[in-house]
Amino acid sequence: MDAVTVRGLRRAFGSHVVLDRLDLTIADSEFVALVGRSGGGKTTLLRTLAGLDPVAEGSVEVPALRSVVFQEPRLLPWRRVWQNVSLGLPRSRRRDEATRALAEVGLADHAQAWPLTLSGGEAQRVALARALVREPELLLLDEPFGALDALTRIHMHALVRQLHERHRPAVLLVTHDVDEALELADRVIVLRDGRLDEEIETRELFEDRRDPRFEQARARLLGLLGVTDTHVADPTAVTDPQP
Amino acid sequence: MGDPGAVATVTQPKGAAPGTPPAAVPAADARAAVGSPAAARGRRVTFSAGGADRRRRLWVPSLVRRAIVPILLVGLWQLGSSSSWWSTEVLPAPWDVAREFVTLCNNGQLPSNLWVSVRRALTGAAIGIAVGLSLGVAVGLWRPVEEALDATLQMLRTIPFLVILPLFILWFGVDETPKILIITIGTALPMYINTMSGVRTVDPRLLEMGRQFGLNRLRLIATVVLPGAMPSILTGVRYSLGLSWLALVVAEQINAQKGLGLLIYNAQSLFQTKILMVVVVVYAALGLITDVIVRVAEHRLLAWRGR
Repeated sequence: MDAVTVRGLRRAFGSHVVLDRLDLTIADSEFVALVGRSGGGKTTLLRTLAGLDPVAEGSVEVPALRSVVFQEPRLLPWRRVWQNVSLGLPRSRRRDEATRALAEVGLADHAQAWPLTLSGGEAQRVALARALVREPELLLLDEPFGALDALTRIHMHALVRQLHERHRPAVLLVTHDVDEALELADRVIVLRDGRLDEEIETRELFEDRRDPRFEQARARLLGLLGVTDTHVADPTAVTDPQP
Repeated sequence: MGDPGAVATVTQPKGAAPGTPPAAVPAADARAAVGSPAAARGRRVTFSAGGADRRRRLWVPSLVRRAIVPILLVGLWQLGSSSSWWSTEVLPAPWDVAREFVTLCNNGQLPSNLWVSVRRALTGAAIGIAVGLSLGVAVGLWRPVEEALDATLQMLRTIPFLVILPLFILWFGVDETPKILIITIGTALPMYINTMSGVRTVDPRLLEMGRQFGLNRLRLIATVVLPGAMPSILTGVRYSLGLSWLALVVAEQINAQKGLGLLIYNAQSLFQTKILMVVVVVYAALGLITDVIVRVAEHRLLAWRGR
């Protein structure tokens, strides 16, 4: 079974074609990372799968049960943390499920807190708990770690991998961070000129970073994103392809 | 940020001024030195705890501090009356006003008329606030409603609503209807303006999130729109309640058969300044009480903003 089936999706803003007859399939429980330059249509594709953007041309088939973690936490500041997590759940099971979900992201102590008292990383974990509490069949992550500091990001990566192991939703992660994509995903796809340009299976790669194939994959992805400097081969180099 | 009690001392860099000992400069000078980069260059500033003695003040409860000026004013008023700076026929002494207050309470005139007036004001304000709130939300959220209504409501807003009262009396007679209606109009408009601008400032990304997580339109309004607009809404409530007392006074000036307006009318024709002053004080108290109620509501409803 496939969680996501996109056929011939086209989206243009004026004369600027963002998605050009794009095809995409995501299997059940598969973790797919979508990389591409900023303004390249990654977020548009994710929003279309979320049902937030209209489908003008082509067809999109997604599960009804899906949730999104946005770039910003988007918590309601006037509701306590657990009430944010339980947003939209049936009244009877709100409290218990919110508490359980918050425990999973390590924030059980903060259930009663106001969102404005949380740090950026904590707020994004609450957003993650809110997305997972309804057991989605498709989880859409729109650069959810972009605004976090490097250390928090490392923690979040481990958390996301662990939560994916436990809940097994299909995941589409939109990111511009090639390392993040390689570390988290089963498969990395590159969006270029409105089409899916390249696919790299990474399932077995991230097990061992010293594997030369890992470095090859990384260099190839960066090349596709327009980073061709000599230092690309150096694994310790800063590798943000964003201008 | 910094501890307000901390003291900053400035020391000269070693060898900067040969012969003079490094001077410790008081905090005010240290701050002044920061203003001019040339003068500050090379200097060092130390912040340390425990220098607060100079600033320690006697702790007085906030309520007492707030009460000082009103109490002084009443004292001055009493002093002026006792020393005959003015005729007590024109402005009676506060003590006499207080005694008149007790008399009016005992003979039942004040309680019965006050109750009639309060009921009028609250009825009018409740309708006005409900109407203003609904219109504000509808216009703030939906474009077609805005196009249909906003221009008209903005136009009505520029009319000083009290001038419509004589018309209302012609149209609706002299009983309760025009009085309550004028209060309703007076309160609905500020409520509308504030609610609408509050709804407009609600973060569209939160609305999108709410929709994404399956909130239907009603729940979206209840959990995202209204709480997001709440600071503005409460400002609107405060204005509206304030205006409701104003509208009440004017409404009761014309053909009052009961209410504080009747008390004023009778006292005015008989030149009973004591009674007039009692009513003035009662209005002041009503205004104060409504303000306190809104403040308490703000404190509770906006607790999420932190102190």
